[in-house]
Parts: sequence; C-alpha cells; structure tokens
Amino acid sequence: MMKWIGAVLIVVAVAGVYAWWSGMLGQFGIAGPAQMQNAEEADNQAAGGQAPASDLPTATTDTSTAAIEQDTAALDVQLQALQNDSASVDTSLNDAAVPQEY
Amino acid sequence: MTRTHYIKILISLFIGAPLLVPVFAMAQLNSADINATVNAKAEVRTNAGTGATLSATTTARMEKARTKAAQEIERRIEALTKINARISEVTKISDQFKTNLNTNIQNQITALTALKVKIEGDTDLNTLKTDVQSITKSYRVFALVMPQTHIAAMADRMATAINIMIGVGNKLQTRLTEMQNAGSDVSTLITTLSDMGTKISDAQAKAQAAVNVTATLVPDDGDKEKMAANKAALREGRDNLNAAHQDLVDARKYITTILKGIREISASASASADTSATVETQ
Repeated sequence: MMKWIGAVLIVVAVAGVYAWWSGMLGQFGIAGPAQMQNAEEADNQAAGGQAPASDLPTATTDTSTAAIEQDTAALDVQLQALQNDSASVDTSLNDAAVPQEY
Repeated sequence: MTRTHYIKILISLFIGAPLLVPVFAMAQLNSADINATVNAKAEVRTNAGTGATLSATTTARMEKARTKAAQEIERRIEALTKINARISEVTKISDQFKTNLNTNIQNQITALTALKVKIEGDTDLNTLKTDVQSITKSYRVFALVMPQTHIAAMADRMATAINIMIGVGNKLQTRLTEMQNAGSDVSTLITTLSDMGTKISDAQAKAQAAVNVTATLVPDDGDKEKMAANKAALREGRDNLNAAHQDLVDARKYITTILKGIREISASASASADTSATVETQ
C-alpha cells in the first residue's frame, strides 16, 4: 500500500515540475522559465523601438511655454534640414552624366 | 684662225671661269640638298614605322577614355556612398523600403567599383570602348536610385517634423482648453490651431503620396516610355514633398501666432488679477 502511495506522489511531483517548467501554471499567476523569457522578449521589443516614440525633445505632458518653445526650436532644425533635402532632391533630378570618350 | 683669235679665246676663258664655278657649285649643292632631304624622309619613314605611330595614338586615346571614365565612376560612387549613409539614419520609412534602397545602392557601388577596376585593366581598344559605353548605359539606374533615395530621406525627415508638430499642437490644445476653462476668450486661437491641424494633415498626405509614387519604381532597362514615366513620377514625388514642406512652414507660422496669443492673454489676465488685488487691498 505504501509503495502505491509513494509511486503516485512521485508521478504527481514529476507532473508538477513539468507543468511549472513549461509555463502551464502561468494562468494561475505563477511564472515559469518559459513565461519569464516571453516577458523579457516583450521588454526588449518595447525597448527596441517597436512602440512609437515621441520626437519631441521635452516630455509630452510638459505644456509649459518654455517646453513648447524648446519643441519649436527642434522643429525649426528639421524644417531647415528639409530645405537642404529639397535642394538635394532637385540636384539629383537635374544630374547629368559626364560625357565619355573612346 | 690667227694668233690674235687664240689670244682672245684664252683671255675669255681666264676671265669667265671664276664666274662659272659658283654656278656649278650651286648646282651641286642643290642636288645634294635634294638628295639629303629625300634620304632624310626615307629615313624617317623607315625608322618610325606606320604601326608604331598608330599604337601611340591608340594608347593616348585609351588613357584619355580611362581618365574620363574614372572621374564619372568616382563621382557616382561618392554620391551613392553619401546617400547610403543618409538612408541608414532614417527611422520612419518601412524597413522593407529601407532595405530595398540600401540593396540597390550597394549593388550600384559594387558594380561601379568592379567596372572601374576592369577599365583600368583593359588593354584592347574595343573592350575598353564597350566598358566605357556601359557607364553611360548604367547611368539610368543611377539617375533613378539617387532621386528615389533622396525623396525617401526627405519624406522620412518630414515625418519627424510632422510628429514634432503634432506634439506641439497637442500641447497648445491643452493650454487653450485650460485658458478657456479659466474664462479667457481663445476662440480665434482655437481657429488658428484648427488651421494648423489642416496644414499638418495635408503635409502628411503629400509626404505619403511622394513615397507611394516613387517607392516602387524600377530601372527602365532602355525602355524610353518607362524612362519618361519614371522621370514624371520622380518629379511628382518632388513636387509633393515641396508642397508638404510649404504646409509645414505655414503650420509653423500658426504656432508662432498661437504662442503670441497665449502670452498676450496670459499677460492681460495677470494684469487684471493684479488690478483686482490692488482694488481689494484699498
């Protein structure tokens, strides 16, 4: 009788370890190694720029005049650079090949 | 013939002989010159053969062709390298489009570098001619890739500028709502903010259109109709971006107007508060 009880306990223990290892217990709020890995991946993805990042130099919640002026200064830099980009597009469109001789 | 006749003949010979010598000498000299010239020409022709003269001309032509070819190839490689560095910094266009542009540029650089090495090593005029002709033929790829990539880079920067502008617009919206709730009349500024939003939306649509019309273009491979269509599409893309840029410049002016209005209303409200406090104190 004791042998049977011991065998059942061993089977239950092995099944429990397997369930924990494979993350099956996650639905009950217990994180196994598989789930922890997924959580890390999610964190990495978020840190890797998957989520849209703000291009503002100040916090999106900072509505002070100083912050808005800082934001507009960054905007002016981009607008000036766009002027240069536009010139580059024109140059590339009007480019002509150097005539070759042979 | 008498003795007197003999004496006259002798005297004549004695006097005339010296006069005739130079004539003979000149005749001999001229003859020598002619012979010398003829011999010299013959000698020149013999020493510098026809084949040697042609070879020197060909070598000079080949060298000139190589120099011009190298200049054009280096010009293109330099431009491609520069735009490749620029495109590696973009963040707003799709990864697929970015990868395509990068691949096209790299392929061009590799092909041009290999062509330059081949031209430098060409020893046959006909082979060199074919290789140099390929520079002109490959120009169509360069003429497509360069503006296509510049348009993508500009559209990417425009997306960044639009994002900043939307962020600023949201902050201004918050400020105006706060002021409105505090009892200030900001209706004119709200209208200006709305106009700013319209300009931003318009810029966004045009920037997207510029990318859409140019992103899928492929080299014409000598097809004139396709070449004309590519050129028209690139110009359309450029015009869209310039119009979008103007929209953003206009929207930027609205920001200045709104900020000025906020400052004036805030200053007025502050002055009213000060006056009220003074009256209450009295």
